[in-house]
Amino acid sequence: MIINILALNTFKEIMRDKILYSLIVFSVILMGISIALSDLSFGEKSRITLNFGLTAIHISSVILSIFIGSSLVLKELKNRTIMTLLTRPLSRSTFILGKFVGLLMVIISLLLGLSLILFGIMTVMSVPVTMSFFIAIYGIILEAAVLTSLTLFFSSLSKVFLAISFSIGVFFVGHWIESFNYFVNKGHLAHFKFISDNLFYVVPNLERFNWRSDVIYNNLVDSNIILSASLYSAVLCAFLLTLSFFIFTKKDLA
Amino acid sequence: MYLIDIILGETCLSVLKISDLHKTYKTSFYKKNKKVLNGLSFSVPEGTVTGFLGGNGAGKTTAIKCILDLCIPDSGEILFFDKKKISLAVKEKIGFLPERPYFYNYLTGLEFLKFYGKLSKMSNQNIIIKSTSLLKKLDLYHYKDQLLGSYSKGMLQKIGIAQALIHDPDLLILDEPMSGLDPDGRHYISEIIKDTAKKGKSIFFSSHLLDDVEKISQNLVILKESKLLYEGQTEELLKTYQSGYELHYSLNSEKHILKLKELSLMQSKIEELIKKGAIIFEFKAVRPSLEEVFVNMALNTQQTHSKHIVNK
Repeated sequence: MIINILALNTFKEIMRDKILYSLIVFSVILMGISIALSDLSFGEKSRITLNFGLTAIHISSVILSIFIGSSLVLKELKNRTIMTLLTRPLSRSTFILGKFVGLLMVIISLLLGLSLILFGIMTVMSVPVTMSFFIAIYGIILEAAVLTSLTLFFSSLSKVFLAISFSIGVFFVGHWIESFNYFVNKGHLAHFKFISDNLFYVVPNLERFNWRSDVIYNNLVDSNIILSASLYSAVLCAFLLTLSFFIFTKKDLA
Repeated sequence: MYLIDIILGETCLSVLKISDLHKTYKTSFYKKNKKVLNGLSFSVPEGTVTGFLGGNGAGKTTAIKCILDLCIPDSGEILFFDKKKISLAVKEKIGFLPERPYFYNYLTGLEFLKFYGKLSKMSNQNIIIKSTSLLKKLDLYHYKDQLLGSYSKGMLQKIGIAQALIHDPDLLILDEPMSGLDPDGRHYISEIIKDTAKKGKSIFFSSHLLDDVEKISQNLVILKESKLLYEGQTEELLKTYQSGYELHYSLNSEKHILKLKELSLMQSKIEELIKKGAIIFEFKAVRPSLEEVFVNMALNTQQTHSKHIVNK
């Protein structure tokens, strides 16, 4: 299938990019720091190890989704490689989908690799590995899928810098939206009520995929929550990718 | 069967037919839209090499992008082969090399051809056979495992041609295939174009190098300021600008050149000279080069355009 060929090429492209290895080094250093810090703390060893480890994995996936995602399509346009690619028997939507799947493959591979390293650190430090750990990693993958499709959507609209800025903006608002809603309701801030009620329709609620604190407190996330978050991620990705297809199909590739 | 055009009572098959193509670009929010193509119509006959000429900004690259569905025209019709609009099936029969190609630096030459072969739905075995033969033909076989990032400009142009040819397309579209190449590189590309044409394939290519165009193309499409200036055979165009005939002979050990306007007078002149004991060693039609014709045509249209403005 053409999508597989494109996805594999995208996978190869990112795997041969130096930025990926810088990211791995950064994550491993962050995990290493967690070992040093946990030695300084008393009784919070597992919490610090898990906190640092999961944060490193989360940040890596966000950087990959936003920074690589924003340049994937625009780099093809800038270098004009898209011109030979799209004169082959493949549609513009297949091209976008191939890029999305390829980047997601890299993110999943990276997350699995980093999880394995964290898993090793946890075993060495006698921190118990529970089911919640794998659920938290799954949540990070769901969020990365949304961020990747979001970045592809922004990059079909604008330039790399703007696509990155918009995606980072949505990332922060998406994580803050639940807290904002909570404070508006608690503080009875009537003039913010309209915004807080409607923000959910404009910005994806990324906190729905955040199960990292459940690992630290050893809470098992309910399967219905996982299922609804998975559906939420799938619908968001489908919606954003469809929008990207639509915009990209009408675009002059000059 | 391909699209049939009736031109001067003869049947002529065309692989590409463009009718009344218009394209404007928005340059900025406050400036007026720029018209790049203004009712362009022409066709590319099957099995021929057609050169696509025009000055900078005449609209050649935009026309090629519209043909290949990389740009969306404002209006007009583009038909391929059997009156077909562009589709995935049509794209399978087209090979394309863009201007100043830049390919994936992270792929080796062989990986690059395999990638394009797979995209063109070729079998793995066929890809290996075709890429090996193309790499050998283009003198790139020894570099097949090197990353494209380390290739020189000429090598990139050659590998670009290879990707355009790997799936054996019926129509090959090349945008400035020889620009920036040394004479050796230009010779290679010319030979490949000729070889491909010998196999009955149709080639449509744009170029600024008129010497090369004259040597390899049977047909020409010339653009001037977004409009069609000439469409037809290269030979016919050069004949139009033919200034007469020259007879080179020697008489009494002295070399002479006789210039005549009409071919009909030549026979009697030759007989007359032979009677005088002259030795005739060359007879030729005096034709300007394509470059001279092109400049002449451009100047003529410019003068017409200026007169038009003055009259207004």
